[in-house]
Amino acid sequence: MDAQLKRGLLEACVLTVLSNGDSYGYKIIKDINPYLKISESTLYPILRRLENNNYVNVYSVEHNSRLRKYYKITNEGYKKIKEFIIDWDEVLKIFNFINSCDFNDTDK
Amino acid sequence: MNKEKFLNKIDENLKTIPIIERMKIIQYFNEIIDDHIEDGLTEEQAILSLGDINDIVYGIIESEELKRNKIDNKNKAELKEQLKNLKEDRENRNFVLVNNDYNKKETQNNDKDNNNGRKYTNNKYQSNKNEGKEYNKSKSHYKTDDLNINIDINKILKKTENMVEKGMKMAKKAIDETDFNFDFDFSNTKENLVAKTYDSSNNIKDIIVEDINTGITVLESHDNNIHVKYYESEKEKYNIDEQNETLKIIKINENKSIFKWFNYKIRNKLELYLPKEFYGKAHISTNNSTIDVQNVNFNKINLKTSNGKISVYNTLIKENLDCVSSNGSINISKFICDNNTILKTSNGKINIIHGYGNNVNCKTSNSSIRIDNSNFDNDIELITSNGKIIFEELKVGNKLYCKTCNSSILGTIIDNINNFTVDSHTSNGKNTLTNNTNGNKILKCKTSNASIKVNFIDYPNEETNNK
Repeated sequence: MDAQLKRGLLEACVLTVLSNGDSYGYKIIKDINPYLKISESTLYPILRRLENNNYVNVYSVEHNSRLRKYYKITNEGYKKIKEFIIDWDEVLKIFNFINSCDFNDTDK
Repeated sequence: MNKEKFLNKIDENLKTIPIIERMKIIQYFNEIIDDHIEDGLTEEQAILSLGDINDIVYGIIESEELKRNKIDNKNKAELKEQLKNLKEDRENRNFVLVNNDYNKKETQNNDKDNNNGRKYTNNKYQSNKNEGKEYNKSKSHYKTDDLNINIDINKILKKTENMVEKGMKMAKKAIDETDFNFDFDFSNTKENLVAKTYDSSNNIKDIIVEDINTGITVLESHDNNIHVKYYESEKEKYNIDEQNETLKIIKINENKSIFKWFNYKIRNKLELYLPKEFYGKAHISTNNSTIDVQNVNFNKINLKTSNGKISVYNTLIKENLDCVSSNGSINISKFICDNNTILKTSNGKINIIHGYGNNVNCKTSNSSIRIDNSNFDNDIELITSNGKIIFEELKVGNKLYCKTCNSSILGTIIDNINNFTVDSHTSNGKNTLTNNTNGNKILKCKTSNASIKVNFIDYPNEETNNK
């Protein structure tokens, strides 16, 4: 898949995961993996970008005497998901148009 | 490969990234590995599951690089704008010059005509242009005088323009080198710098470094010996000697040239490699430059600089940690200091992340103090002025004292509010604290013209806050 496209999709996926409740790195990966393969090292830049753009907030929680970073979606983050859906509605329309291509003419 | 080795390897390969960013990355992978282990993998398996270390590093550098390029371009754009303004400025001045030349020619033509009436207008004209000049001077004198002045101004303007352009070029070079070359380029040897090393396998318990205008980095040694990497030129030399378990590194004959200011940060750097379990005393001082200490444990450490940053990372200190700077920030992260931590600077931020210790004392001015995810068993004293004080998820053993002015105090303390005797005061600002004399611990917050917002989080266990 195109890298740029994958990054956009992953950002939206992470935000969607967080919209179901605050989560941490390892769990986010587990939650996304059934839909889109993501490795630990690809998730990190995405989380940083989301944090820098203020789509998520970060806080730490003590867990088994170590710290775990939790990510929480912000209102901006929710807006971002909405934007994503609107954008993809358009893409879907285009897709449907492309999909209406008549393959019967391919013999030519 | 175990976790520590793995994280160290990532750390080493990311030296081009600023330390704070690097720390966050290490923290992230540390957490991920721990989570994998908790899920049933062994440490070895957990690390294997992360994939090839080079791929990881490449992925991160690529994304970090992207950000840095953006900054780079932004700065370049600013510089372009400045150059453009300069050009416009010069064109305007040329325009004035052309006008002057035109006037001059006119004067000469009028002279040739030698017409009285014209002479009069000519004189009148010139008197307007050159106010304050003696009117009854002879015409020819007048003319040459005028001419001389014009030539001089021309020359001077041209010279200044050239100099300004040179200056801009130098500034551009300086900006390029200082901000964007994280890899220090030692090959730039205008002054015949010679790279030297000094190795010691003796038992050293005390280290003294006295340097000038040179950044100092303390790193972990890969064998158990001490190594010093440094640069000498004809005018700058070091005196290194060992006596009674003490290693002294002292700079002599500092080059006083003012132009060095542009270069020293880039070229000269003293690197001191110590065994991880050093547990000796260190006294390190320099000026106009940074001090960076990483991954080495000490008994006692004293860092002193001016106009430069101090950063300490991943360190265990048995007694005191003492950092003094001015006009520079102090960043201390991932450290344990069994006794007192004293951080003093001015006009610079103080940041503590993941600190554990007994007492901590932070003093700065006109800048903020921030403590995150830290735990101090005894007293915490944070004093600044005109700067915010922020603490997040702080655990207080005995006392927290915050004092600033014209700026707010914000934070969360992991504790029950009933354990604290609260004494807070602000003027012209909101205060979420109510003063009481409930508990054994003390919380004192003083500011003015700004708000105090301190929350208490009482976690009996992690489930309560994991929504």
